[in-house]
Amino acid sequence: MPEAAATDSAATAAAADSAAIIAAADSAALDSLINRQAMAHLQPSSFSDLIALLPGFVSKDPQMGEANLIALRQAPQATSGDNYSTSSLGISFLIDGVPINTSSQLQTTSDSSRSARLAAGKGVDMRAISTDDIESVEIVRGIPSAEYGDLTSGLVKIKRKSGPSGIEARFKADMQSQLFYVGKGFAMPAPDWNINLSASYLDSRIDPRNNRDNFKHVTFSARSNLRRQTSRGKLTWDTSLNYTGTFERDKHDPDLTANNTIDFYTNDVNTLSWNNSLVLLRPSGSFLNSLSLTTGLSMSYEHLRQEKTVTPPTVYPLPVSVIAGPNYVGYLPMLYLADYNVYGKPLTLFLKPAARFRYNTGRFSGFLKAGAEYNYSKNFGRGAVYDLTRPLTAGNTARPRAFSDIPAIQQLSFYAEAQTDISLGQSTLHLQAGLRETQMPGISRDYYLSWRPFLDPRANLRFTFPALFVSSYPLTFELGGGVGLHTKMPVAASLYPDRLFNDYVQLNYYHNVPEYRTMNVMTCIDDRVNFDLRPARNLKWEIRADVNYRGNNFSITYFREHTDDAFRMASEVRFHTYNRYDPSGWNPSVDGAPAIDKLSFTPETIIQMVSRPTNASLIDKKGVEFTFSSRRIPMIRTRVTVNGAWFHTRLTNSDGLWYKPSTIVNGKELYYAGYYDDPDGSVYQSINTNFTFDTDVPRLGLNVSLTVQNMWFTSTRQLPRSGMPTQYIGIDGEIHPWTGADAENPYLQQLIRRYSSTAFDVRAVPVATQFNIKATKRFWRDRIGLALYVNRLISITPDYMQYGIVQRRYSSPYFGMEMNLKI
Amino acid sequence: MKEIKLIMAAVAISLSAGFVSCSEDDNNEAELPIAVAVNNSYPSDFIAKDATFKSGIITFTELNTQKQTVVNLTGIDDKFDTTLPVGVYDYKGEINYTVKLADNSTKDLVLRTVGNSVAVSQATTLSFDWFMSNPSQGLVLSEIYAAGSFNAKKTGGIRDNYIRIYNNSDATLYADGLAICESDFVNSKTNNNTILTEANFRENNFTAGTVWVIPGNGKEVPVEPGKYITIADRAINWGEETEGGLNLTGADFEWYDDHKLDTDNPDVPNLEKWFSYSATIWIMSNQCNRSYALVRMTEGMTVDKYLAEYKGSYEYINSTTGSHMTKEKAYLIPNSWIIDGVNLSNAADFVQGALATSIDAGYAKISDITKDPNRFTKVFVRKTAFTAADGRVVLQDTDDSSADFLTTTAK
Repeated sequence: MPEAAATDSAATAAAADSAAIIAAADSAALDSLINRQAMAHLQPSSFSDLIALLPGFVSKDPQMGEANLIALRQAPQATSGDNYSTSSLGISFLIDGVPINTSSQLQTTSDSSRSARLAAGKGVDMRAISTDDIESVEIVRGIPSAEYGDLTSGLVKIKRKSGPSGIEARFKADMQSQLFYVGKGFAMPAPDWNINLSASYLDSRIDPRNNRDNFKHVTFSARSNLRRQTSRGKLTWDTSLNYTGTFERDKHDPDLTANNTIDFYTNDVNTLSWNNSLVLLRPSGSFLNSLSLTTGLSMSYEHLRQEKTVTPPTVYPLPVSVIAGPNYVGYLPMLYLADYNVYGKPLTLFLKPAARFRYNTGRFSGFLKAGAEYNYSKNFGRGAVYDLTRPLTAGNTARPRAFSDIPAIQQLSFYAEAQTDISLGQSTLHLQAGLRETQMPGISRDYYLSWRPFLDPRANLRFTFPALFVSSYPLTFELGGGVGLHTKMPVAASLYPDRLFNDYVQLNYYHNVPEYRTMNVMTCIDDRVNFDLRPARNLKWEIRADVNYRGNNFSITYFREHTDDAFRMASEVRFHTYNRYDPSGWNPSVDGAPAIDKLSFTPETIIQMVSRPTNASLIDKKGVEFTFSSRRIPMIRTRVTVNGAWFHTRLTNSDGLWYKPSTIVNGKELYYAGYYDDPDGSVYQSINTNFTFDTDVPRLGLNVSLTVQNMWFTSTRQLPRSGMPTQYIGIDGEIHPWTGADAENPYLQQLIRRYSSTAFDVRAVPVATQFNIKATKRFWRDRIGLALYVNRLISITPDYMQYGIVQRRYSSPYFGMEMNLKI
Repeated sequence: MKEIKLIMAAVAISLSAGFVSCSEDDNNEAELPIAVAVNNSYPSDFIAKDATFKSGIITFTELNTQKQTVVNLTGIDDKFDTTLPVGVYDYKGEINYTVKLADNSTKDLVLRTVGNSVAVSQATTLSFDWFMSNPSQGLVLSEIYAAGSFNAKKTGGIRDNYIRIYNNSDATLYADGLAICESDFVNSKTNNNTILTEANFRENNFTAGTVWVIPGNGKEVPVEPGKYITIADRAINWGEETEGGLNLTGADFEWYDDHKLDTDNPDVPNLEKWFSYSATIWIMSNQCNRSYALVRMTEGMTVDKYLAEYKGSYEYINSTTGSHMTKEKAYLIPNSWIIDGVNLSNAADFVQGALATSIDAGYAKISDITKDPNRFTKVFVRKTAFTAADGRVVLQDTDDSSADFLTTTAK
């Protein structure tokens, strides 16, 4: 880990220890620091649980049956869907300075009921991050340092434990899962050399009554930390070997399926990584403060397998050709076993040399940072491997493709940043200004992105006013703010989308005599690559005020974020031509099965809507976040922490959209597609507050906290739209402006989209209140800790009316307990 | 279904035999008369004081012996008493009466009642629901096979679906030009949406999700009296593909979707698809919870004219979520065009049918429960009203599918 980052974290960690145990904010950018103590109190099963500590969030039950994606500064009901996955994709996760690179993550399945379990193209699945080795987490929601890139909306910096310790063990059980952890830090015989070993195991049942649907998580980690004093300075070498395995199982109960078939879905991911960081910290006083080199290498072995007994309800023709043009096709049997495998093998490589300079001219002091970063990822997997004639579902438009055919994704970045403290009498101005430059080497010149540089200027400012003394205690007041541009490059799934195989019926001749049966289709292959794809860029600014008095802190932030080139799959109009062959009059008993070259035909053109990765999504966020934490009130040994937020999230499209209704009129698909300028999205709002009363009684070794979480309201409003196309295209390829008279045309009128008169009303959900309780008791000089938590011990969710219908909300408590050992 | 009946009959008989043999060892148990009281309930629009009774007859058929017991009625009464030998009975009854019309002329009308598998083992009271019988003198939907036969794993249905159109009159009628439409509305509790667009109110128009038309100039597809035509999803010998599937190669028409997921039998002509909400293939309601209408459009209707003038997009309030929604993909069928219609549903879910009550006052029941796994192989069949003097079977059409339809195993 680079010393620079370590110092930042150390400072914040110290601040956190003395202030709030739940969350504390420090540094120029707005961020939240979650330390060991806060995590122990939260009793998490995976990283997803930690998000509940941020302003704007309430605690949620673990959802281990689906990918856990992160979203920051966003109304919780804004379940963004694939069109807005940039929200989660644009949050970078760093573990000991090495990013989790998901660019070549490609595991997908054609089974739509399972797709929510997979995070390909959507960012990091937080289920795979265990919390037990974590020393502290810094979640930067504001403007991150220019040192960090390939992100739009946030940064999660995870620092893992190092240093000698006794054996630490944890056993946790809650309503869905059991978790075991054991770790120890060894002081090695050589001086200043420590090795930390740890292992954890999580077994989670998505529904405790069903032991065939579960998620398992196994980690091993060995981390060495070596320090040497040399003539040039202090040299630190951190190296770690890590293994993470996640195993998902979803099997059918043979007792509940006919003929005892054991259909199953499994998804195994085994990841090995080796991280290194070499830091030379120069003696104080020298201009060159530190030099560092951080490297990361990881390899994952992923195997998704699905076995399914398929009983198609009918005789499905089965086009399987991968060659464009006319193809004769066979038929799918009405009972078969589909065995579907997806093999992924993403390799990632990370290299980051960095330098830090220190200067102090009396009035000006601070650091200069500069460095470079290289990211490489490539999937060497075989991709989907299955018998095309025995698919999971009939009629799919995909054909298998080896992931190894997809080129590597590379990113090269440079950054420079100045951090300056300017003292102005008794005030201090802290200024952080940096610039980051990024490009994608190694990508075909056909892409707009090829070697094109993108610049992210970012700045943060903090002004500390002279302390006022009130009752002889200092009252400090700070004003801060920042602005910055953030760039997220598209991932492999967007740059190299799968081709689409559409088959159009040319001859359909299902004769009573099997030998005469003939079906011919025109196979059209649609390449969906968008060479004009650009990165998603988020412009963010915020202002912030902090007040501190006698250990009481209050902080409030107003932020705005705007991305109008977020990734979206948007439809493009394509034209395909084929022939419709007429077998009437064909006498098979004389001529045998018909062949297309012996039949008359009429040509046909069809409009095929092809969805491609584009930059047509708009993500606009604004809101207010606040945190208050009191000092521990001596009489009752209790600290009050309040946090909350107002979020206003607008998710929509930034460009018009093509649409063709999926209906049949007069025996055919519509010969037209319409272009609509209407917005496609919604505005979401939420206001919440969380009050935590946390009481610590060291004499009894007891810590009890009560949290009252209020989601004061959430609202959703679809953006108003007219439903009228502005123009339309016919099969002749000509674009016509829409006129009023077109609404009378039997075919064109199908393009008019209709919305109810109240479709664009605000739909609000009133207050929901929940009371959570957590307690920790320590025994034997703190060697044994027992803890329990109950979320929603009491929950108050009043009924409300929506369109004259009473909406009832139900909730039930969720609880767990754990034991911690330190020997 | 037949098996169930037999088992019930066997159980009833063995029970009654045991009961009887204890007390009356010497008598022939089947001959023992049991007192049966019958309560009659008449339809609400039947006004007894205005009706002049002509004749009435009830025929009880014992299912095991097929022995018939005939009861002649003497008037239109609330109740009557009779005796029956121990057994399990189907019954059907008919009351002929006349009413005086405003112009002092008289009109002959018929009330009917039917019942199945009634066990008579001890003194009992039966309730007869009478309905107005007015057999339609035209084409009717006589069979609907929407559930399909079992798939190879018996986990669901296959698509050996068909619809049968029967000539219930004594003259040859033509089926070409007729439209067969499936409702957009779903006949279930969870889809009992409040319709806000007036044109889509059930009493105004039928809201169709698909409009299929039998091709022809109006004189090309004759249906003789007492004969039918069969329209299949696919004219395939399904038995070759899956055990128990029907052989539909003899179907008169297929609804073919011109899509890579469909097959087309070259020997069976296809319907014309004027409108479908689905761009791929249309499948019947496998849960048997939509409605079907047989439609004769007005003279001179063309597909372009229909598409231009009868778009049926509508607004509604979703019955489950309460949200205000719009349905884009629907077309209207004026009720006056409908020559026959049938609501399908299961008993647990039924609230109201997609058809106007004047077209179907009830619904044809597939099962008592939602998504009954035993619904497969069950076909809806219109009951026989009577056999005409020329041997032609006249089907019952009282515009109440609850009374008119039963289910039987598809063959």
